[in-house]
Amino acid sequence: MKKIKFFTSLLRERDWLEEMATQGWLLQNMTLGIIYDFKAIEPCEKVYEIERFALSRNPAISELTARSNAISMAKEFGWEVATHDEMLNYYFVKDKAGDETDEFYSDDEDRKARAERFCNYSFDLIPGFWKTDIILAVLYVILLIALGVACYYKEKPTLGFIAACILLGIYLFNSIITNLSSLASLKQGRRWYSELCMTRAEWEEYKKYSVIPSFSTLPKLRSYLEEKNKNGLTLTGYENGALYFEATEQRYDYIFDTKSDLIRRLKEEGSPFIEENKDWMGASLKWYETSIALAAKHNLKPIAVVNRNILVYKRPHSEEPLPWENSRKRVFGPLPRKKYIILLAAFFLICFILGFFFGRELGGIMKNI
Amino acid sequence: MEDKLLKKYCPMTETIFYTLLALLEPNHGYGIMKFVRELTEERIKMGTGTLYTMLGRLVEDRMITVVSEVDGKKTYQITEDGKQLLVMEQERLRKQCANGEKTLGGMNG
Repeated sequence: MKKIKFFTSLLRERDWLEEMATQGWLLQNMTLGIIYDFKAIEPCEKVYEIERFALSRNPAISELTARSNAISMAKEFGWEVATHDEMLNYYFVKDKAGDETDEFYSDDEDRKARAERFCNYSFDLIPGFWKTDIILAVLYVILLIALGVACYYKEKPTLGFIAACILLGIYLFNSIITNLSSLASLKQGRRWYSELCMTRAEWEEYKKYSVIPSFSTLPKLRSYLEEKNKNGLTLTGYENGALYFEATEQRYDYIFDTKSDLIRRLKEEGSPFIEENKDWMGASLKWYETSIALAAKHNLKPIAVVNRNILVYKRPHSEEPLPWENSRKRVFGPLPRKKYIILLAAFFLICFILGFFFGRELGGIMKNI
Repeated sequence: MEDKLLKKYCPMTETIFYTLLALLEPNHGYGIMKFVRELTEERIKMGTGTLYTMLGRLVEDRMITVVSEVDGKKTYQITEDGKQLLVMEQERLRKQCANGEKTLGGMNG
């Protein structure tokens, strides 16, 4: 049976493959990273592992035989190679044992080394994208000069202009693709790294107690946390872009602080916040330090920084009013997807209108030449 | 033995220590895992990945060597360098233990 599915997360892919095994489907081939070919088996519990044996930039001799060594040893441990894809990612499969032997790595350092192999593979794609882009740019400049010379002698500027526009279009299109794929590779590499550093137990924990937040306003974040609290979970931290919770029976009050709130409070108190010198990139920790020091007076301890700019405190629920209110409800952070699309569409529309009028004007000029 | 290797393996991780112990007799991958598992009473269960990365590194540094290979299944054994290192590590651990006893010893009782 063939199935087409696209994963950006290796561990979600692993979960899915294991889920398929319980339904009686074992992976036997993979094409282009998206077409999964399964064969029917008796439904059973299997575990998968994904491994890479690619050479580093300056390979040691031992790396040349690493793959055959690894595969034969994995066989001794009961693992079979289900398949590998075109990028030479190997999919190993084994009957589930329910203990540590269900994992390739029992050691943090080795687990990290594998995560690095995957991460580097994704990062190493980027120079290739840029080399293509540079070659195209050079080609474009040469062609443009040749075109200019040809037009000068043939006296057909309109045709030359159109050709130049087409070339520019191709080049710009390639540039956009280069940028997008580089960003995607960076994101992918980072994601693979953080995922592959997790053990199975940590991954289960991550899925159970964490959530990828997308909050545009503080009241939304508050009501989300209070809802979780009602279900017996309380926020303990924010890591790898996800909120972490732990089980609790206590009811908590959540208190948020943002830089603009802090500046306003200090101004009202008559001791204005002074920005750090030479902080061009807005990387200063000063407002966090100030906020933490002020919160300590209310016996509050920070528990998480959400979306890089909301400092979250909590205290056991009490009838006392919160030490401060948030005047600014909307915070800068990841926009909800819907707004992203609207903004992008508006941007494209403006570009199109500008291009349309500009092109019409240019067309008029060209006719007169 | 080179200083570089001494620096790299002294002190060594627990898994390397037990693997070298397992290789005093010729042994293969799964055998090493079983040996260590029994010796440590199920405390250390090595995964295949941890083992093949480590064995690869140890062979490269000539701490162990491949003594036979049948159908890709390799049997490894410790070398003289490896034995020497193991003895040094043992000595280091003994000293560490003694230091601990001396400083902490009275606190147990």
